[in-house]
Amino acid sequence: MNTMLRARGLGKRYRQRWALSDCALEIPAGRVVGLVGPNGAGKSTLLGLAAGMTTPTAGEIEVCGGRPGSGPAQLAKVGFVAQDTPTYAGLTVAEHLRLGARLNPGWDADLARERIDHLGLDPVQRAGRLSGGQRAQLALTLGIAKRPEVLLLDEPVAALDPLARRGFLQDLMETVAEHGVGVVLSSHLITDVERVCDHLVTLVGSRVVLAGEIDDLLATHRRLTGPRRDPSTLPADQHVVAASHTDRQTTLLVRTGSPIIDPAWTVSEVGLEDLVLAYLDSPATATPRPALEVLR
Amino acid sequence: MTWLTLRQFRLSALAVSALLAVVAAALLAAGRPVVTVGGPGLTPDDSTHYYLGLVVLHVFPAIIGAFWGAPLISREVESGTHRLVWNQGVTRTRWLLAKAGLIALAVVVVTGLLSLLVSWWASPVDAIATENGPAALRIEPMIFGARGVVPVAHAVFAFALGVSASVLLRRTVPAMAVTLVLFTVFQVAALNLVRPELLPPEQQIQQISADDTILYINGGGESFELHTSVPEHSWVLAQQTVDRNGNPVAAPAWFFECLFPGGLDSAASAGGVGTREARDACFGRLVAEGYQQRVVHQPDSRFWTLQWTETALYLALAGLLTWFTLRRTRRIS
Repeated sequence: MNTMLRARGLGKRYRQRWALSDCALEIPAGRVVGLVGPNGAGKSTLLGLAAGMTTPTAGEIEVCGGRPGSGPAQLAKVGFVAQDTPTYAGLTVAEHLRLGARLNPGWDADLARERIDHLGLDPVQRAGRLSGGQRAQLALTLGIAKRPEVLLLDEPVAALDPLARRGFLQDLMETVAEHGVGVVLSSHLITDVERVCDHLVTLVGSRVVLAGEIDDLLATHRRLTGPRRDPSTLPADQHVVAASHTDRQTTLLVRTGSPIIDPAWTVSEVGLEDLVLAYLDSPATATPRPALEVLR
Repeated sequence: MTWLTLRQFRLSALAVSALLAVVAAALLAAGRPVVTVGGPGLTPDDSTHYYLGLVVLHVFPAIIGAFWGAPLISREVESGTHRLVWNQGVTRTRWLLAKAGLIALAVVVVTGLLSLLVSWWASPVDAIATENGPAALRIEPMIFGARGVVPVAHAVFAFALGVSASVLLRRTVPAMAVTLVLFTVFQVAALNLVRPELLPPEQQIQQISADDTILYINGGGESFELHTSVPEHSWVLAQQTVDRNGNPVAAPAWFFECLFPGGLDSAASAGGVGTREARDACFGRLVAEGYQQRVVHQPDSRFWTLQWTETALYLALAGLLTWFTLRRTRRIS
């Protein structure tokens, strides 16, 4: 199985603070991965490490079979659109495409031109005068037209209004489907991730707390509602992610591989947003422990 | 990379070229000065242009360092565009070498032209210069730095210094300020401490005689020093009175009393230092006791040797700074 991103014991420290610690991931090729978590959880750090912008303090990371930042061949495999989608304010749209063509051996000029036409960007417009959405599209065009195997996007839609955001993601999905490129996309909006991603990585406090195919994650988590009881009396294969109690009632979010057979519970499915929020809130995630790997 | 470098560089290149054009226009319009040995000195206009040439060539490297060097990396980091450009198919090492290399080439061309122009314009003045006027020798510090190839080396070094400040501070304005300060400090230190020692200076023993000796008297006559006239075409670094065996000594105290028997005040009221015969007798005794004057100097004939030595030194330093910058560039995220 081809892997687009593999990390083992990966960690990055800035001065005294670990921005990412003990990160283990294995993501199959061609996936669209959503990277979620609160601000400062380490999303940008992980993407920066994958792009080769920074080097790890501990552990190792491999992207498309190579060490990030190891040379021109590796750079050609990875497209990176950094946070705030930087572009040269003084250069025009056409000059950005020229930059891409000059600096990338595998540059797809037709693709770039078609995208710019399709998006309605004026080639003679300076990038500094584009709207946030247009600038993000321009940065994405540079990332896509170099024809990478993997596209890393750091909060590409953070600065966009809802309509522009929807358009950007839709356009991204069309491109991904057409060229079969893998994507890792960070966002703090789970709805964005739900719309476009098939794989999820959740970071909290510099650690991976939840990672896996979204379908599997949804299939293995259940919300249980029933008369008040102590969660520790549950069967061993039911792992409690979150629990809340009223005087009479207990609501649990559990992860389990097997069906719930206890008739006392009312069992319901969990949405992705609730699932992720439960992991973000869970006190268990505050203490260091290995990432939860979801079993099929 | 060439296209991108030229595209990003074109505004600052234009600004500096405009400065060069202004200086060139001023010097060419004025024409070279006409001076002869023993003739009248420079006209006020020519004098202005002469000093303009000196000032421009001393300031120009600092401008290059601050305006071409210091923004090179920091401007990219400030606008976040380093994350764009370093994720194309070119490694950041190649990016920096291509960019800095091309601009360094421009530095050499522009500074070289400027130095050539100023040297050409001032050559009639330099030709009649001697140690004691009417103009300063081209080997003397302030002129030396504004002639030949040395300004080019200074500018390349200043540029490398600016880029180093850029990668360390990652902010343009502080990097520019630090470049200006460090370059100025370095230039002053190099001029005073390094250049005199670049080549071992020549030493020359001179006889002391009444005709070409000047007495420097400190305070009311507590101490004094002798200075003899020196080689006409030399940058004089030091003068020292020595005894028969060549050991540095102070001129003997009796010599002062011999010249001024009643003390300085009575000599001043008498309007001089006594009779010619009395003075000759004092000097005669000094010579008889074996006192001589040692002059340490760099002769003007070494001009080009010194120029190339200093150039090599500055270029080596620029190379070191570039190596440092390349290493530090890998740390930026």
